[in-house]
Amino acid sequence: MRHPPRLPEALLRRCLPFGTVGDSIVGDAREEFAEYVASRGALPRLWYWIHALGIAGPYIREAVMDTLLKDIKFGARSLSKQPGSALISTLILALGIGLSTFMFSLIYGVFFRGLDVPEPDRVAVMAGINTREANQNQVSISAHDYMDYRERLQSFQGLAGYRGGTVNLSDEEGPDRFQGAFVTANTFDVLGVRPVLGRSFAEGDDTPGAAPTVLIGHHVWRDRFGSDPAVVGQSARVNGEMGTIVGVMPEGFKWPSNHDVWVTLDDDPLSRPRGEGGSYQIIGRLADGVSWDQASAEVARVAAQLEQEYPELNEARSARLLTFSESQNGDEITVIFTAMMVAVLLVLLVACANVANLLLARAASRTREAGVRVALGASRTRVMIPFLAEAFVLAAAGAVLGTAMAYWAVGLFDAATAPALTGRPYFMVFQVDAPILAWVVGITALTTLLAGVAPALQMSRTDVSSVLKDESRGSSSLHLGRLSRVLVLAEVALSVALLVGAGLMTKSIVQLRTHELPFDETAYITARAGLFEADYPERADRQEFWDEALRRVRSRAEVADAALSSSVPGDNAGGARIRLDGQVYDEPTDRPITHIQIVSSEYFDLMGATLLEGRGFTASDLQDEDPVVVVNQSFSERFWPGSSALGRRFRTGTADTIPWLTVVGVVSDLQMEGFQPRGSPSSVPDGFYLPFTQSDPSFMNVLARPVSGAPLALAPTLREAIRGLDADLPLYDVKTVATQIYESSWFYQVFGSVFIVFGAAALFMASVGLYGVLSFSVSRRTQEMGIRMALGAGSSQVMKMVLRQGGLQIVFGLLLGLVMAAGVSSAVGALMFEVNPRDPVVFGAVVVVILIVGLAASLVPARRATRVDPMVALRSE
Amino acid sequence: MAPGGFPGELEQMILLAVLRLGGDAYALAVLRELDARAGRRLSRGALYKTLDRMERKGYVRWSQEVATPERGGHPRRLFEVTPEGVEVLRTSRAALERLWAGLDPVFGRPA
Repeated sequence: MRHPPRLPEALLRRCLPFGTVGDSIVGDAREEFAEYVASRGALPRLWYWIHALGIAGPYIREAVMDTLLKDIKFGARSLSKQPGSALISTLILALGIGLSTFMFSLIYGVFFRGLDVPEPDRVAVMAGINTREANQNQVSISAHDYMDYRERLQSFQGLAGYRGGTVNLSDEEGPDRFQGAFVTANTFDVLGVRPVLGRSFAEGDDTPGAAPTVLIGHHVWRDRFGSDPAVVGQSARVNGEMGTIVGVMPEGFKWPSNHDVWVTLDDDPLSRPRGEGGSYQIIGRLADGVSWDQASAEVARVAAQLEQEYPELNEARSARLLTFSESQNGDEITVIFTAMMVAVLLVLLVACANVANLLLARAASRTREAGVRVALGASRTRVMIPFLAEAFVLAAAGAVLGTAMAYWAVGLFDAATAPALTGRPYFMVFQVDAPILAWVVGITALTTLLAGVAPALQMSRTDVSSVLKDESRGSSSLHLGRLSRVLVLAEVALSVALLVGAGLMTKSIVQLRTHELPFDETAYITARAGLFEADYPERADRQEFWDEALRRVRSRAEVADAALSSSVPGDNAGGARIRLDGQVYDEPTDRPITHIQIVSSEYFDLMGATLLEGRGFTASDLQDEDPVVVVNQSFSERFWPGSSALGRRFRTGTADTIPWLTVVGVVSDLQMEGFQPRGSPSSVPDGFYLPFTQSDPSFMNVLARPVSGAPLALAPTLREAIRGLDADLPLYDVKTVATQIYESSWFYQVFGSVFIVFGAAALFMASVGLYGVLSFSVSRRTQEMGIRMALGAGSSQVMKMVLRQGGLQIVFGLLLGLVMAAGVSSAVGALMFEVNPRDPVVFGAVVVVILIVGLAASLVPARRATRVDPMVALRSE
Repeated sequence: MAPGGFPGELEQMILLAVLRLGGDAYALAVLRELDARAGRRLSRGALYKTLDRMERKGYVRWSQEVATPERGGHPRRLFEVTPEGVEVLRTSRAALERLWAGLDPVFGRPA
């Protein structure tokens, strides 16, 4: 082989300087190649490739750095000549990048950050699914199935089961109630998290009947035990049983969601018949070398075995693997965040369209410059680069400002959704850190392209001869005009969509702030307590406890009235499916969903409900009597419209042994649906009440209204009453009903505010964009205007002409935008409180706002057009 | 002192190699000379870039030698050191010698 391979040689030649210098270097390379071949060197082709790369490397590096830096400097300098438009562009991009970064920080925190454990991507949650249901909602996995999975699955290092619950810890200090998780002993091995003090759970701790062993959270150790290391080994009553605290978990660890203490599971599900052993949530760690797909396949296989072995119980049951985040985030939150991400990307698109427009305007005045460069032999790419460089300078400045904005906003959001306020899971961390900054870099590059490519492409298409021949404004500027008009149209459309979203959100927040509950939520205190079977084994014991507790509270002089309730009024009461007497339901899912609440007889009086028909509960509604039920007005109207509900019967559950409930009264609505987003099945206002004397609730809220003064002042009264009955029983969630309501409705406010910001940003951008384009097009047509006016056109005609052009873009943009808005508003429906996603007032208001802004943005350039002096215009160039 | 400051170490080495090679100083010969005399192995790219830079500074110039067939008709550049190049070398050497002077007790006599 005498000649070096052609391709690398040609490439090398391209990288080297023009003329003899480059030629001589290629010659040197040939000479060396010939020597190499002569010396019988191995793989000469490869050798030449490497050799050529070694020669070209420094040239390439220098060329890239040189021209790129030069272009960027040049871009910055040329932008600084028009600081106003550069500043506006930077602001616009900062808004776009800032909002999208903010949103990405939230999405990253909710969906992608995941658990703070070693190798979190090897941790899988096993979720049961019903293969008959299309939406594949997670269903629980029975304890028996868990045991079988644990035995049979080879793909996992360990498979742990747990269930959430309430843990009452009591020692000499008194009782306290914590959010707890009951876990199998291997749970923390699976997670890979060790206690910082004491020991983890060990095999055998979860043997059925063993005394409970407890791990406590770091904050519990600090706040409840004063960071005393002697806590390890200390005994405490755990939900009534004597147990031992064996260790303290690391700071910040609150797995699975917001949990404070962990107790070993000690029940013995296998001692009960299959199907009655309760259920677990299951988490596992993949064994080394096993892929996610392999594990999924094995899980499906074992699930199929179980279905075959236990067809009655496991029919249509299977399981699949989810990441921890996936298992924690429901469809609703996914929809909400997707909608918001789409919204911010729209804002970013608007921003890019705007800046593209401003750059186009600048580019137009430089058509000749580009034409000359092309004529002098510059490649198309070379002509494009300066325009991309300008876009980059703007995007980079916008990114810096936008990141600062995002940093600030993420901090605000983090504070507004603090776990203490909203029960946000501990693994959702919102902060601007490395992954978020990586996003900023990516989005900045994208922005550069989006904002810079249109002008750059336009310029590279410059028709040399027409530009050079044309003394003043080439025909090419007309092309620019068309593209820029399309951009404005798109911008108006996007803004309409976002503004409608923002308008609906504003309405929702106003609605929420002015919403009047059927009762005064600030007048009541609520506190919760729960009885455990270990302490209160008999139903009569529990009944007696609650009776006596309520009697004690009500007997106090400072208490005006009090009642028991299974849920806090104004909060969602909880759902139940019912079967009406005389109706046949083919599928269990055909049974209607409504709300259920268990209350004592004083409840309706206490909350000021109006009795519409029949009676409330009385002391004679006892366990042995026929079960009675009181329904609310909406319930009566939904199921028996136009007729009396009294004497009607329905029942819950699916079994035929469940007794009928007979309606004895109808009361006015007390907002049993709470603040559920519209459209969710539990947002229906209807519901029914069961007398607590005929039910057997373990957990109840004590509600009370003071004779005078702040309701929270009753807290000691309630505590005393409970402690007087059971010194080991903690009272928790002590707060006003108003606080409880904020906790279940905060997201309307927080997310609503976020959306309003999106809308305001979009409005700002649309007006700037419209103004920029129209004023640009007017300035391009100065000469034409002059001629028109010289030929006798009045200033009003000229003005009309300009306004018509702006008006057309606005009207088409509006129409397109309204169509998009319909989509956006449906998507964010879940975030809106009592607002129709098609609210005509909001849609109308947005149309008016856009028209006004559009008119204002067109009016300024239009007035300027009428002031053109024909003589000046005709003489110009 | 030289007007543009002292030449860098690599620049000095290349200038010296070009001078040593007399009329035969084309790029590959310079590489071999540097390897043989100074034990310095240079990448091709670094050599060409340094030569370009020194040409801009006026330390070297080149003339074109007629193309030969084994080079596929590509010309060869013969480098020579300009009087300016010689001057900066001289200045640099003088400065170094002044710095070295009197340090024999530390280093011993060079071989």
